[in-house]
Amino acid sequence: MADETNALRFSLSGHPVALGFFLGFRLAALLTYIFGLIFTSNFVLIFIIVMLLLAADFWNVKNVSGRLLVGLRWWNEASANGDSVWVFESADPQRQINGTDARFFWTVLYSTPVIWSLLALLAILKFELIWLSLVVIAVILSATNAMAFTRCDRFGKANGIANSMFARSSRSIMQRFGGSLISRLYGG
Amino acid sequence: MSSDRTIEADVPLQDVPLPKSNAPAVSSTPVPPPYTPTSNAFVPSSSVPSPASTGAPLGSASSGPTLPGLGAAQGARSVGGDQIQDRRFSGGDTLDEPVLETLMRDVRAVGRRVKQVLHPKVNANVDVETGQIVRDWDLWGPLIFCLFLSLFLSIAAPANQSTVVFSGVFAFVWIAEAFVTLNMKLLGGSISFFHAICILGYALFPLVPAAIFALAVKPMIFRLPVSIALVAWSLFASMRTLKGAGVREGRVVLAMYPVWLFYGWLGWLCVIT
Repeated sequence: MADETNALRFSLSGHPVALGFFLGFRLAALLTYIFGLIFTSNFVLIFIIVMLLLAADFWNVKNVSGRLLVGLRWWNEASANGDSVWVFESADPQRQINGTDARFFWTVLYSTPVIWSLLALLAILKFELIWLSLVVIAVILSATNAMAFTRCDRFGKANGIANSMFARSSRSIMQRFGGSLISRLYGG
Repeated sequence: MSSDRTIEADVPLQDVPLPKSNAPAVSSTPVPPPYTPTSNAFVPSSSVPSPASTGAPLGSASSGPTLPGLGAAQGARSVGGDQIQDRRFSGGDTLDEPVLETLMRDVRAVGRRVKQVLHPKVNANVDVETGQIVRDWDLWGPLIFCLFLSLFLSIAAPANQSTVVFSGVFAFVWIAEAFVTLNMKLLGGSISFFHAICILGYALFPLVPAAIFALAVKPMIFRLPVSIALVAWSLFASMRTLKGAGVREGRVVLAMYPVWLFYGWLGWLCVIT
């Protein structure tokens, strides 16, 4: 039964529109980068489209998806003496978070920077330094969101979700290692 | 120097493993009514002393959804040079606001900053409506203006160089903004890093028409005065804002010299394309 409610199936989502936008922006940026040059040879056009998609995704995850899907939000503000203050906001722990939404959110949140990092590695190996600049921006933006939401969640609401998610997906040692790594990240 | 603070929902005091430093202050904070999902205590920004300010990368968080009743710092500790403040969220819940509200707050903030650049009379650091000092920032404007500037300069460039020109200008703008800001911080300016980048990026706005003008008009004799005038506008807008935002009095020229170089170089690029 628990498996049923947490399954990665779109129809089980509590906020299908928010989840759609969350997945849509992330996938669109990735796919435009990977397949863009097949349809056009215009580097500038692809660069601008991917850049705008990345920015839209960053804003969307930070301000909308995070709070609708897992009840977390973060932002930065400048204090009077010029220090920057990071604010991490989390919802009432008694609020019900949809298991499917949370699983989608955390899985995609952590896998996106990994995918962009692999693309960065590929760009280095192919010596495409111009594309590398775009991929580096993508890695920075997605990793910032991943780290900030990890920090948001330090009171451990999704900790259990992530642990059970990793434990359930496979019993192999590698997966267990990954799960404990994630939970250690949460602890920080 | 960055610091953290965590806003936590108020209800389950006993369940949440709060840091020690929070404990003494909890009693001194007025206890808000328990949170219920239906009672959305979001307060419209006009009625709250703090402006809807809180920028974040890419316009993001102007979400600083006017949090009513952020308690004062309840304890600060230092971890590896970073100051971390833990604060307790003592009322209101902004996580339930409609998406449109989140979106419009940031759109309005972007519009306000563009207006500040366009409008030399307005004191750029003070919000026109509330009279509050504005310290929030976003990077939407810098991103859009930087993309436009790079795009128009790359169109003006010979076809086989347009890619290089585009990525070169794009990278130059961000790297130069970072260095100019670093210079200001090292000279003792009390401005946050991203706030300074935000100001510099919004002040790029007058250079976009300069690049468009360079596309339309070929003779150098017309380009040069227009470019100089628009660079002067950029410089004026950025210096006015930065000065109020906490660059030290005696070091204004030293801090501003790289800013002149930055806009001057971009303006020169518009002339020679």
